[in-house]
Amino acid sequence: MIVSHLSVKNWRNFQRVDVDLRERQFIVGANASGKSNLLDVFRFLRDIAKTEGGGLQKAVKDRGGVSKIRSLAARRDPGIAIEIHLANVSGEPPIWRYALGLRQETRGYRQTHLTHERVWKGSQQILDRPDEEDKKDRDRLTQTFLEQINVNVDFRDVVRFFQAITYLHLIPQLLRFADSIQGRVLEDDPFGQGFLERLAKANEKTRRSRLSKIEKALKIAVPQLEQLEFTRDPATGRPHLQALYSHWRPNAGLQREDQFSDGTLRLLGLLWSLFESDSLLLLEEPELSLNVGIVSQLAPFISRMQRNRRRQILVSTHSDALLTEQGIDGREVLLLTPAREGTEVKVAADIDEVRVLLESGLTVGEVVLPRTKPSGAEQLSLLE
Amino acid sequence: MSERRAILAVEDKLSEAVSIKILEDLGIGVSQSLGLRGKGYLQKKAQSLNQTAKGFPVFMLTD
Repeated sequence: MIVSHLSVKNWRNFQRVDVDLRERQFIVGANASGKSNLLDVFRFLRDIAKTEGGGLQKAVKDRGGVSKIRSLAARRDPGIAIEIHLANVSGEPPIWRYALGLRQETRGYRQTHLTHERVWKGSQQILDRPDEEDKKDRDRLTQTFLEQINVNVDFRDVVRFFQAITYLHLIPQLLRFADSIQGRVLEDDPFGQGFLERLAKANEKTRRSRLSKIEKALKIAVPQLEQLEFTRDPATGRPHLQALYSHWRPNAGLQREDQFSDGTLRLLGLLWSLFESDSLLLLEEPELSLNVGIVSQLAPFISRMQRNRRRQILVSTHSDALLTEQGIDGREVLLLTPAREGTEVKVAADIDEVRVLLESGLTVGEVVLPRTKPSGAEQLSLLE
Repeated sequence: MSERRAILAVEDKLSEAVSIKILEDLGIGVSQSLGLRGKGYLQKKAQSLNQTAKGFPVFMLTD
């Protein structure tokens, strides 16, 4: 299944969003336009649905409370709402629809309360809260049915879909210095600090098969890399990745992950995530630290991956190289434009000029990215 | 009357600023700027821009 449609109201930068999504979706916009916040809608639903340490109250608290989530542009109608459609293929009628509304109590414990929670299976509505029980006991509205397995049996597919959502924004320094930092690894490890543990937890056969594919890719991307393998430190038992680089002295070219370049680590993390599962994958600026030649191949690579497994991938990016592929459809790009009343989100193909230019053979990188550039960007070089 | 708009295709920032001014004086807004990658890029894209111009006004400035 994929998320075929997203609607949000008063979510962070956005007062209203109402867009169809494709199997491969690029999100572009200026800095601080809300690309990460748009991806955070999906992480929020995952955080509510997850079995360990999940739930509505925690998901809201982790984000600093309703006041931090609610759009500053929300005034007359301050409620936050999210609606997601799940379909087998983009453009098809949804199999499931899940809708959620939130607000904060104005007095008392100032807990987050549901204003509504609704689920449709096909065209039939199977959940409509608040129901009679909720009206008798308002505390029930502090929890979604999404987080309670004893009541969500009728839409368990939706719960599982949300639970499986994966987010990756690997920060090489966190992985490289994980031992020295010894910091707390965030839940779900969004920044790759516990990436090696993730590798270690995978079944050995699966890990070997994935690493062999990754090794092939790295051999193309990283000059002189010859071999990649998973090892454990004989003294501590800690997992490590080890690469052999070609060198005139045998064994001199052996390096561990703390010696890998930023680009190598990011590409490793990216490829592992792409091979890891069939769930919705959220990628934050995958182009960082990568050579432009590699970045230009990411979009077709993602597309080819999707031929084997029907997996939806949402990618936020600033990269011209990533968007130069001729095959990127205008419907696969969401353009975020900051405006007075919150950031506007449009499907690029819905903008007349963009559609005409793309139909004439120009690429998304050439047409859409210039629209994300701040109007006074050149002034930056004049600052003293 | 609805605002008239055109797509702008230029070589560099200077041509862009000049073109915007010319179009402004003619009461035409710029809906999209393209190029800023030199003359060679515009020459390469001329055919696509001609195609675009069948459906949408395109203003190209090159020297």
